[in-house]
Amino acid sequence: MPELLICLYVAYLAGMGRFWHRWLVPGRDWSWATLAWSFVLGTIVWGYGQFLLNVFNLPVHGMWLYVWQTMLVVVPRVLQLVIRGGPSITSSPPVSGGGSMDPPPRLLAEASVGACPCTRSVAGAPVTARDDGNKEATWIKPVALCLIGVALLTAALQALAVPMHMWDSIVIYGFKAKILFYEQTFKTRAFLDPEVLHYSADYPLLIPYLESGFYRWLGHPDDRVVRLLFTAYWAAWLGILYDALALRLRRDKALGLVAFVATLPLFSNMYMGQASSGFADIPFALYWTSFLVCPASLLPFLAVGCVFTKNEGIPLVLIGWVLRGQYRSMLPGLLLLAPWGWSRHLLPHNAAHYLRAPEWALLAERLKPIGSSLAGEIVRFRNWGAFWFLSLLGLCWPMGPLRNETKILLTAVGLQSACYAFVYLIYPQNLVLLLPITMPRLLIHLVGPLVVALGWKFGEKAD
Amino acid sequence: MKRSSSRLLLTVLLAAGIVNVVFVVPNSWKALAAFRAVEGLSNPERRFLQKGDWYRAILSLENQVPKNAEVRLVSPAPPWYLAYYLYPRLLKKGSEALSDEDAVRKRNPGDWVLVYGESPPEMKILPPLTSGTPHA
Repeated sequence: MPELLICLYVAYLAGMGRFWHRWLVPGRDWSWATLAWSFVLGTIVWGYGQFLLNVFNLPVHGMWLYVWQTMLVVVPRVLQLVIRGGPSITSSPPVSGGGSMDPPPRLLAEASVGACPCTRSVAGAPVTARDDGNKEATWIKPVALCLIGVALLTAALQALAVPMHMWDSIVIYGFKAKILFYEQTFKTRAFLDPEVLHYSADYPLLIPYLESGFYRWLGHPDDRVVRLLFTAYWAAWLGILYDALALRLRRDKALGLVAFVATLPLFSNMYMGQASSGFADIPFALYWTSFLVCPASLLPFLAVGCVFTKNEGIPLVLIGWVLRGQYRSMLPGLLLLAPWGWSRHLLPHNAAHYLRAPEWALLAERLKPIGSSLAGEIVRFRNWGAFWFLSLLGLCWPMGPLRNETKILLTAVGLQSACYAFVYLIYPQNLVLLLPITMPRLLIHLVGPLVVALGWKFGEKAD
Repeated sequence: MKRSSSRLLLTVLLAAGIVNVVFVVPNSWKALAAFRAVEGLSNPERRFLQKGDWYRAILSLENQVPKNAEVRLVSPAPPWYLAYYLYPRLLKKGSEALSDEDAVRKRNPGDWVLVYGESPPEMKILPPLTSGTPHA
């Protein structure tokens, strides 16, 4: 039964990711949010792992698939024992003098809370939004959970009703997934022969590898049930949002905000519902949001997640690294990405070439359609409800000086928007056709960092 | 956060949530209806319901061209979905001019040739010259 198998596949990804998460982020107790982080890591490790096996021509046929899948579960455990020098991978921090385990890595905001003396209580314990003295409103949690449940159910029903049918999901990712399933490698004529009709053959392969991994389990391609993988991505994204928001907001408010994001009409539109569309935008939004708020130990992996999911990841990861100032994690990240950089260079570049010499005279003319398309999208209630109005209101709301981590997120959103505007400006083909189909999806990438920044902004006066 | 700000935030969030619900509930209802309407159908049947006649054409191509065959496409406007649905049959560039049909066949005698035009509507599949199979 393919529906059951995709659930097992998602559980495998999250379970395997849990081992990596425990190795990379020791000291983190289990929660639903850690499940989301585990899924994030599991998808990256398994997707990129399959790619690396292909790069180094290691066997992946038949039972080898399961050998490698088992290895990926065992490896972090072994690394834990070897590198951290002890059998304990318990989630509680080590007792003093009891081992060489590093202090637990912290999320971006947690690090800042610990570092800033003004956020410490008299007793020395960090003050968080949970201690703000306000009682939680009892009605918010059940209502929010109910709304999130309805949104998830809608996405799952849409996924299971009809197979993938939109351009990107079929032509870009679905086609590659089929090739990877049948050939079990990207080193095949379907990818490398420029005579083969293969749009964007050099496009990142994380989503196709994950889809083909499920097809391998199933024994044949199923482009209907595999849509549930994207629903899982979407749920994980909501989990990461909640985890980041709950650092500064009371948990009921964080959950309320997540419910608001989950019920944005864009995710449940009947034909173009983004929660299970088969596009890479939700996976990319997940990796990008995670990249901005994750502990530094996860940065190299999340850089791989961003860059190996969408080309937008290349500039954004560099921006994120610079803004966060985590230069030490750049080297391992770039080393991890080197095989993809090299392989991408070898694949045929048959899509529109963005970075050719732009026609400067046309740039000013292009600003008008870009601006009007953006404005039209922002006021499209059918897609976004009141999201952008509230975001603008929240940005303008006077709340005193912003904390550093909030500034980082807002700067990331600003630079990301500038990057996208620049790509639109230099796009070599018809912009009028491109704008309406891409604008809503690109705006999804901004939602995560923006919501977290606003949540942190409004949670900052907890003390 | 001050109690008044907190209450304001919750009120605004609630109002925005209600706006969302106005859109989401009908979408959920439609999703449920669509799911129940196609329950029990196979994926090709669902695609046929979704896309109509062109998917029937895809199925007829799949039935005629063996898997792993190479197909040269002669079409001024190749449909974007063809390569996906026909795979593992490998769709390769042939010509953008319908009149090049014979030239493409002669140039690639071992390949199948798919001729596709939209105005006037035309679709035919020609077997390899070297195989001796009659025209489909």
